[in-house]
Amino acid sequence: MSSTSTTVPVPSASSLARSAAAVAAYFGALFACLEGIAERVTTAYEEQGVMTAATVSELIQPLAAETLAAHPVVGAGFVASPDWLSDREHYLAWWQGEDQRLLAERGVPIGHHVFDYTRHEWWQVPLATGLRHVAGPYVDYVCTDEYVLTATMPVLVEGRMVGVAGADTLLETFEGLMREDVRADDTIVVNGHDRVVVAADPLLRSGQRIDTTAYTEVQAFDDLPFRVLRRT
Amino acid sequence: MTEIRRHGSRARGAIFAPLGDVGRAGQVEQRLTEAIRSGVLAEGERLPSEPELAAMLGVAVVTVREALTGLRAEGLVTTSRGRGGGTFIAAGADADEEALAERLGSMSRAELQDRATQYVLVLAGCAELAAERADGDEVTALRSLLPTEGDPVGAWRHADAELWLSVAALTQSARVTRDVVRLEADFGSLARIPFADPDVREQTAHHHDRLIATIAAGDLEAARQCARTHLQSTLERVVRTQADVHDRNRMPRSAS
Repeated sequence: MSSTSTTVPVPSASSLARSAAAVAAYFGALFACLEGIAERVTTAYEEQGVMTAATVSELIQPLAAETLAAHPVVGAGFVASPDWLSDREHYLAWWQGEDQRLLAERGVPIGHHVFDYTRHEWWQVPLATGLRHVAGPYVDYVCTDEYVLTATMPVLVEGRMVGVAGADTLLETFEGLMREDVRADDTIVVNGHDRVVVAADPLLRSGQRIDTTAYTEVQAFDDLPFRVLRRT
Repeated sequence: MTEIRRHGSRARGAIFAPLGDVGRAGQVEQRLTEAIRSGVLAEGERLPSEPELAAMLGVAVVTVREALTGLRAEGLVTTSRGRGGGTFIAAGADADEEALAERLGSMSRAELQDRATQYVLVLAGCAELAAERADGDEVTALRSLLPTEGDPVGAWRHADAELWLSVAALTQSARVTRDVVRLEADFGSLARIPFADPDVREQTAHHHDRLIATIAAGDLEAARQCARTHLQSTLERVVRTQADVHDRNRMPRSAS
């Protein structure tokens, strides 16, 4: 799992600018919401010292509802680090769906004894880098049963990750939002694994791996594992 | 902007979806029993708390309590109090070989063949697309799911199920993955009956290694072939077991 978040200065009036701005705007606004969730957890922990599943759920529920209302996401919330909560090993203060159902604890639908979410990219990358991340597109068979992009940011207390704040966006939703700009620029948005997220070319399937060296115009982001590509 | 879909989980969601108005405790008990027997809810897994279950299922807490009492009586769940307590899926609840044989016996031979054909076709197709689409990190993730030699049969079955589910997810198709979740919930516990035999587990471990190697190599044809060969050999055993069960069931009548 690699996060190729690179720092490339934004050249003005680039032919990629419109696509890049659309990607940055979507995730910029979403992460602003997730920062609110992260801050709420940090502040509450500093005040109370010990956190339970019930406390953290009560704390996060209104913010998750706000995130679901303000952004076209299918789920949002906070996922606790194993053993951080005093009463649960694994816990997801996460709401999803039209009815905003609480996930609480999950098992893999037909899988292992416990759903160990710590092996998933959306957990691993924030843990390893201490930075925000967008995982996917991938089929999330544990929570949404959909093809999604998962945005997560670490929630840190004294330098230790106590969980992640995150939100799931359906790939089809993101594609719909980006389509016009990507078509106008004739670009491809790829993730850190050089897989297509959304492309102007309708024959490039989302999730398809491509040889990115064939593209001469490249725009990376400071804080997203995505790049915008274009052939000259 | 196009309509935004906000589906919740289907596989698990189906278990915890709100119920109708009548016979609710019985319905809760029946639904959870089926989920435990088929391995959807796994041994050692903690159920949501009584108030959480009540909220998820749209029933009163007292109804949930009644259903859990029934499940406890059948030995499917255990409850412990205090910190770290809760209601857990009991050990061996899913690995009741007699219950599995009974289910297999109640099925016609034609139905078993029909289900086996669908199962092999879908999973072999998943293996082929996974070989086309997986990258190195994803192959590593598959390896991390493999069961180990000393694992008890229940853990072995779960690990194998999750491996195939992960292979399905590598197709990058949510629909295909949901189909596989449904197939597994319906038929997976029967397809894994032969794992009770340690020799089958050993053989399967080799097949797992080979399957992952073909996916890593990006060899579509070999991955499909490997999946097919493995699943067919396992399912042949299931067919033979079913024939034995049918014979056994007929015997008392023919003797009388």
